[in-house]
Amino acid sequence: MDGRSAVIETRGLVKRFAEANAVDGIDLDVPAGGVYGFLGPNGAGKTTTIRILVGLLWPTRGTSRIFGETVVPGAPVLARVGSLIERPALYPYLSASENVRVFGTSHGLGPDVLLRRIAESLDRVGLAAVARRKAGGFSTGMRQRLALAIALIGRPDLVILDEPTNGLDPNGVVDVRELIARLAADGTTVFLSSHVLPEVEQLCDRVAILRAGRIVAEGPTNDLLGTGERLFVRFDSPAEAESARAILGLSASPIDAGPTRPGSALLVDTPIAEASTLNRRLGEAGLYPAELTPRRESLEAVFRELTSDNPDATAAAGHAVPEPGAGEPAPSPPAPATEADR
Amino acid sequence: MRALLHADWLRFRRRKDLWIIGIGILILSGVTFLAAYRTDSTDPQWPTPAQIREEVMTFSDFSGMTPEEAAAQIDLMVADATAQYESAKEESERQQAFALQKYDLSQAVFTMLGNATAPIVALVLISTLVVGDEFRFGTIRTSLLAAGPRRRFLAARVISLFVMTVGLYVAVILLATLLALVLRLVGAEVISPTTPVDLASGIAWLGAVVLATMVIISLGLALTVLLRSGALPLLIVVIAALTELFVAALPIFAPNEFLSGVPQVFLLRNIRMLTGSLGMDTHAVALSETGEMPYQAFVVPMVGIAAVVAAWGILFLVIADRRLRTMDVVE
Repeated sequence: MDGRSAVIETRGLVKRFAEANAVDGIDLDVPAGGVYGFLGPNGAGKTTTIRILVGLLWPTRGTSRIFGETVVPGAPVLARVGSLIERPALYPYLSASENVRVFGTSHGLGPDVLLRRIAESLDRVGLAAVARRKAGGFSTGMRQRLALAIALIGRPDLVILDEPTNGLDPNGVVDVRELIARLAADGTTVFLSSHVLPEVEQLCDRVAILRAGRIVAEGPTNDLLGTGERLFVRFDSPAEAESARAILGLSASPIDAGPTRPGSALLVDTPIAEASTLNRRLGEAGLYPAELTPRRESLEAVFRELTSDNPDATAAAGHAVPEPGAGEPAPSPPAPATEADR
Repeated sequence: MRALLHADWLRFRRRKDLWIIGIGILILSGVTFLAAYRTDSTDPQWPTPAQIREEVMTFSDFSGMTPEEAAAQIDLMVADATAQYESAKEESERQQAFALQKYDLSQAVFTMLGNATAPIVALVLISTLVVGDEFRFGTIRTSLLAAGPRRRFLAARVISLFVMTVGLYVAVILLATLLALVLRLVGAEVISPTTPVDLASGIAWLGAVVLATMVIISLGLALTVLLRSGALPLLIVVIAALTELFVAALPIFAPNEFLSGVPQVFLLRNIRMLTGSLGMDTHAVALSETGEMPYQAFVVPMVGIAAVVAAWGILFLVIADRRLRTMDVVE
């Protein structure tokens, strides 16, 4: 939590639909400020959790609090929350500016403030040029942008976004990412659910990963990615690579370092900070790497490892782990908090 | 609440379908009013003495009579037929004179609104549209979030619909007044009422009409929230009305039967008793023509009947409110 107060807190949150728990005991602490990533495969319970957080669903069990106030449908604290949930909700017979105006008016904004904010918000999402066009004729991306403008019209302290870049063209995606980054920089807390993992990796300073309604990993993004920190060590020949493998006590065979360098590289699971130690050990054995570079694990690989039922996926995300007792053991990487830890 | 009502106004004023329904009701009311005037003011064709004589001679048999006897018989029959026609003509003129009072400036409003169910149907349709579309477009999410407590969303909609109801009835009243003025200006035959309209009863009758409309709108709202759709509620309201008429006619509810008191709480029955009785008190010709008490059993005073009608409306709103407050919004 980095000592920051929690904007969103949930305890034992459960939502049961028919015979299954869509959300199955979620404990969340989202600190103030920054962008918090909320990940999970389809059906993991992300949107259900978000709907509970914004007061659209009643939880079956458990509590959720925003800014310290208990969230139930219609709770006053929800006036401080802007949200974009799944498909955009718009009035097709109203123009873009009228749509924003209706929701701005509902928030109690005065006419002068409202006019200024409408212009600002439409400009922010790149719809200023089509402000007078009916929303019914908008493309998916334009509807998404307009819904984002509506979510922000009340200048909320907390913005909850569910797949905000869905349907956007590449320029739109970049614009929305910049907008999210700007919001966070301005002190707004952004709770971002997304399937676009590079986007989450780029934007979020903290992440929770859901699987089957439960949080399977939570923590700072760097820590999560740190579990997959690796060093790519390339040698001039496969023989050197094989010798290095023996010295380091690695179980995995050398890998190709490119089409012209078969079997001449190693992937070593060790923190990047240990690069100099590893280099020294190899030097002492007369082996001098031609290349020694960090290979950070991608969030995608971490995500697949944590959420896939398929063992191959876990294997694909697996790394060459030094054998115990062979050479110096690699220090343990910082582990993210997991469900088991709690 | 003001903010929500303002937002509703911004939304509704841009809906073409609502304007089309409203203007359509005004056109229908105006055309019906003028068509009824045309019917009431058109004199029936009465036969001339020559036509009566010809008719008698054509359809009578004078065989076996001498020409003198036949001529005397024809004169007798013509005189008899002429007297009958004169009597019918007098009765027709009396009825016409009565009917033409309906188009006097003081009566036109009651004539136009008297038996009009179209505004009620239109307003129920509007109510199901403005709430049903929130579910259809998914805007129920943003609307509920903007409203704060969900009850405020419903309250704002009920107030907006009340304003629309009053607005539509005021428009119909203005149209009726305008058409009555036009009839007067063009010198159309309109008879001054023999008994002036009782203004207080007239206002009470209009209030009862608005109350009845709001209660039926509440039923439409409750159904829309329960079904999360605006497609079926109007049909269900119509079916419910027909069902009540059918059920009320069942022998078990007949006078002197054990369950004869049950229909006293039926909604449509109480609405008809309320508007019928108040309508007769107005002395408006259109309401006196059709406003006779439809039922014999009349055990509670007028305020009691109004209370029963209002209680139905409150029940519908409580159901809508409870459903809205407890529902999971999955749209």
